Amino acid sequence: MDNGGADVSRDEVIHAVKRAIFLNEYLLRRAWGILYIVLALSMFLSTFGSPIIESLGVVDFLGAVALDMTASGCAIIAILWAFKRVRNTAEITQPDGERAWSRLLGYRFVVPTWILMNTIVILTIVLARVYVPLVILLIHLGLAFYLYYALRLSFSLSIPKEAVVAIGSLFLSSIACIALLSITTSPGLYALLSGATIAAWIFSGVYARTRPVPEVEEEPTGLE
Amino acid sequence: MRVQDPFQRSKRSRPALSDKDEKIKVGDLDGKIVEEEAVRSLNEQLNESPAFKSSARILILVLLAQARSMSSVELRTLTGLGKGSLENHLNKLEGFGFVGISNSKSIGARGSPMRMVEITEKGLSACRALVKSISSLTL
Repeated sequence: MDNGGADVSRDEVIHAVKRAIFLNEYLLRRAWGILYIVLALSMFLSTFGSPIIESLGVVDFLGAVALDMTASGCAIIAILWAFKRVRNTAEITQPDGERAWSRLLGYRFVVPTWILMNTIVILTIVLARVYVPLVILLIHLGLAFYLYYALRLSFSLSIPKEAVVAIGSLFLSSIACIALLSITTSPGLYALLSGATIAAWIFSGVYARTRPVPEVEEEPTGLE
Repeated sequence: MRVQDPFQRSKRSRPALSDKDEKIKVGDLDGKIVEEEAVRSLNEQLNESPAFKSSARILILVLLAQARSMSSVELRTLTGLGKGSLENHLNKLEGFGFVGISNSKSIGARGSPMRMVEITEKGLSACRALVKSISSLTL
């Protein structure tokens, strides 16, 4: 079809745009890689950091809570940084009518939610300490769904393998731990499941960061 | 294989269109109008903006629209363009007011300041319109 005298054909333009979106998914994959690593470190600190420090008697209970909040705060900064890229991309690739994602991935939603989650955890510690593991596991489960939503926005074709491993491991370990809560409260199994999840996230992060730039087939008359 | 119209040789008259058929026909018509509108809009953009007269510039611009800013080294790695060719396209895009180029404070691998390319609001809105037209057609 006639393109009205432009120097490039309509097919070439479409190809260039698709290629740019494809290459950007590679950049997003790398950005998500940093997110996996930071979240893995945050999970490590909040799962194993506090018990280790408490057992050594170096800091008191409030110190342990502060450590937890610092760890989750670092995770929130990483989430906001990665989500900014997701929002910038979605703004270009998503249709005009569907802008609910913009609010859900913005700091106006993320930061108050983080404050609310921390408040819930602290209140649970003070009022009903026995339910703290359940509350934390439910938060992890919610996080898995939330990150899955953001991943669907980031990758139009298919979610990368490492993301499936990361989100899948968090989802499965959270479900398994919640199921285990009714059977045993022994920390060994929980530590094992959390450790496996953290290892999966670090693996996913390193894998995503080390992917080479994707090869794109040569265009016949595309690039000058 | 050519699909024959079942009513072409039949003496039976065509049945009247049901409400459902009517809706499908109206839907097809709407789709065609949307597609024609998208083609017209795309052609207008390709004609009006000299920046879109090269697929390399379109590639650079859509990449920048999604990331907002990038170093020239990153752009070179992603697009596969040579240094001179990339500079040429970036200078043209800067001339059209679609991107801004500045030297970053951080130092690149060879000890020289990194050149950062940032998309402007004008470039962003042109890019949005372009991708919107294309997504109506294909994406």
